[in-house]
Amino acid sequence: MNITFFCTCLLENLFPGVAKAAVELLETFGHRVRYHAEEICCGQMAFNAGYRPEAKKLAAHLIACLADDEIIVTPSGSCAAMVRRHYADLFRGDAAMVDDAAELGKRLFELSEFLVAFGDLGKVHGDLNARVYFHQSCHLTRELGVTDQPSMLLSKLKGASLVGPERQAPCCGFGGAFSVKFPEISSVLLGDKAAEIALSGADLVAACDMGCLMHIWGGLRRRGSTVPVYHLAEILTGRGEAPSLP
Amino acid sequence: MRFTTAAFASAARKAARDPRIREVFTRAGTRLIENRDAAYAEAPGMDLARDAAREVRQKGIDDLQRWISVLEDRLTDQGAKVHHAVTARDACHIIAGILNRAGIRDVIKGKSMATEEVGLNEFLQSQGIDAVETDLGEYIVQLAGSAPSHIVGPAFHMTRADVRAIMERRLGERLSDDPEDLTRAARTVLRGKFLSAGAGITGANFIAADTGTIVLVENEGNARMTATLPRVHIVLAGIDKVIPSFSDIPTLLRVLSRSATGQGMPVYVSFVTGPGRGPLSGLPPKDLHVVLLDNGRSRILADPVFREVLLCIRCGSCLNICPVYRTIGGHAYGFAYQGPIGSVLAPLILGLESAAALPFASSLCGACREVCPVRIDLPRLLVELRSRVVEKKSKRRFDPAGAVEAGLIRAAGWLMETSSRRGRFSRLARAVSRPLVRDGRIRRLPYPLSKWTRSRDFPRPPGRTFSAWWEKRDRHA
Amino acid sequence: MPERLDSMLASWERAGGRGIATPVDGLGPILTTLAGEAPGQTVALGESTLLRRSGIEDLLAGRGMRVLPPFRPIAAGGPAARGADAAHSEWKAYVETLAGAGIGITEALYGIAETGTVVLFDRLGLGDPVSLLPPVHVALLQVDRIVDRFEDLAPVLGSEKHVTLSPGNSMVLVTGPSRTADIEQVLVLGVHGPRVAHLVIVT
Repeated sequence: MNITFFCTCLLENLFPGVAKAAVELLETFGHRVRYHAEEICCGQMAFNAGYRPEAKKLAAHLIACLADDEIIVTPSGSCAAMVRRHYADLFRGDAAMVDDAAELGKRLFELSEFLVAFGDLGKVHGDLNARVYFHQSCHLTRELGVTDQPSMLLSKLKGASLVGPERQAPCCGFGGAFSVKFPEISSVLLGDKAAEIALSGADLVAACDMGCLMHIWGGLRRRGSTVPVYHLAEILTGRGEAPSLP
Repeated sequence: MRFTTAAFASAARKAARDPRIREVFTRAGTRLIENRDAAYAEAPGMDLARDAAREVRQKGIDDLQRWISVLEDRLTDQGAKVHHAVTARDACHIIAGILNRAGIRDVIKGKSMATEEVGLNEFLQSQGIDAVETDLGEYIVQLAGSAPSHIVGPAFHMTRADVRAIMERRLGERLSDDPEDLTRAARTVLRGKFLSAGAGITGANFIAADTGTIVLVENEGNARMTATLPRVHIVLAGIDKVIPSFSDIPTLLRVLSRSATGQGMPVYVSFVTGPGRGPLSGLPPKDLHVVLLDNGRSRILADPVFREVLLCIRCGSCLNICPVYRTIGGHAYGFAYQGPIGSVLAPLILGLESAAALPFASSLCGACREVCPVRIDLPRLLVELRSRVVEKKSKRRFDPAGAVEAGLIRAAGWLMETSSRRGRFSRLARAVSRPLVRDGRIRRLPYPLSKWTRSRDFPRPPGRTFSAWWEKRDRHA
Repeated sequence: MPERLDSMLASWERAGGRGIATPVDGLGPILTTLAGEAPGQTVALGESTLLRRSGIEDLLAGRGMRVLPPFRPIAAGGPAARGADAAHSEWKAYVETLAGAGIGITEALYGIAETGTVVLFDRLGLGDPVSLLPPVHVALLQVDRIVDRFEDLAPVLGSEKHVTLSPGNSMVLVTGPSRTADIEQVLVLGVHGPRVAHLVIVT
């Protein structure tokens, strides 16, 4: 398929390796990937910080840039959720923009969601031979409803087993600006998450959101844990490459 | 007032560093949510039940003034007196006035968040009127001279040893720290108050407009006694407690206790319709006073976004599941209502200026929205409050911190606009951060980014953007 | 319906109450036994056709137990006939005695099987203190007055007739004994209301 890749501002600036892995993954599965360098921010950070006008500007720009793209895929659950769940609120009172935003939402997918929905599940192959703690990000599960797809994809890798709590675990404590506005609370929740990961006996940690991952990684390393932390895209190529986060 | 919401940020920080607080509230919250989940799993059709509960509450607030008017007529016909309190102060004056006119100096109270909200006990005290809390948790907290820390369990923050110490000191008798023993001691003391008090003050869980029925939900029996035994019964209720019809009550009861404690039904549900006693009893009818409290609710109702918060039925589920509440406990919020619902109500009732920090103390995880029996979109309300705070700050002339933050957000937006800007910034960040890097990671960043590195490592800036990689690849393709 | 009876008892017990079913002629003996569990204590009775039929007042008196009959102020020669002040002090005396009683027996108007809930209805508008003040409460319930869910009952209870007949705090739903978990979340029964709640379903 022809896919447009929406890389997100976090991956563009801090984790280009993850974006690269996602693109290569999509190409491995036979898709033709396009990318517009002008559209990289969904406005989530500004919106959640209370800066509606700034968020609107970024969001309007994104909607315009992606107007002609049929399928858009992004390796970020929270960014996909911003577009699909919050743009209507952001543009409330402006019926035309609300419509455009809804229309974009219909064409925009989070990566794992896309792979399963569009039949790439069967194409996942390779070895993993590891116990994986998959971190279920709050926005990915609660706002997008993407609960099973990542584990379905991981299970296709030989030797992959999922460890950790069966039910939705509490928030890791990232929450964007919350992590620096209330760092004491954020780090308590991070400590709980790190303890959970240690308890699970996981060989590696994976997720579909780099925000959560960089926070979890930062906490693990500070506590002396060397458990590798991967974005899902970095694992699914099955090539066993090192993750972006060292 | 005596609320400390303005000091929330430092109170929260302090509480987050206290592992005992986290232990207590995590244990309480986890247990209550487990009970809630079990009750929801056991009863059929709970998803539909929540939809129905929301619908009933929505019907109420959509036409609230009308229902209040119907209620007032009905109550007046029944011989009850209706009072309207616009502000918290009004409520205090009205209630003190009722008691003073009746010459009543000793009052018992059923659990009522509304009376906490208006500071009734302190006001009555200043008037020489002794108001004794009768809900066990509220009674203990009153003896301790502190504030409730949870909507449903006011004394959750206290250990049994704490409770024993307070009760021994205030009651002057030796007690063990067995909860049975402590409860028995309270029962004995309060029994005496129930039998002698001149007036009973309760809140209301709901008030049905068509029949004028005040619904009191509880597990202990103290609300029944407070409403029944004294000759005078005063009800203080927010106007958002008014529901259109008696027939709406089952819909709300179906979700209330299951959400709050995991019970299918509360132990006692009282339906107070009109003043008690009267002709058949051979006793003069009771004095029933219903004080309807506004305290900002009309203003909230008029706001198309915030009016949703008036659907709340005060079950406490959002507190129980909230990772932030579980970490910092109830006192840090410094208000009558805590947790996610408190973080929305505080700025709306007390004003944005007094409670500006509360809406930001959330990771927006959405767990509260998931458990709310009437499906209030609390995260949405929190983000909306954030934008109102930012908007208000922007109008202030002198606000350096706010100006810096706004500047950063706008600078980030500007940087994002072109890939060349991002590329240049990326190289700059890599260069500037070089001295801070050890083993490929950054352990310490300067203020304010030190707020991150205090507890986490930060990744090394890659020095090159994804767009740059893409462009190079494209050129070579 | 037998399923409703079983369901009612099961739900009541889940809420911490104790339940039993009996044909009407077993009622007297059962109540006498329950009253005997609080020896030397007064047995308070509410207004109830079942109680009258069971002849419990005589049965208990026969065993030397003290009985506090229902508050009947407007009966001939009752306190109300002697004026408001007399009525009031009779009421105060009644409540004091009731507070010292060992057991209170009342008849419920309805039962709700789903949750094990009984509906108490105090025609005198006194809030049914017999079911509340003593440490043991016995609720009597006729089996044909059990419904499945509160939704089935609300139209009746909210009807003009019931609402006007139940002034004040006089309609109460009761589900098991009084309880709290306010101290360290430890469950304690009998905080202010009864510690033991019996349900006797009369078939």
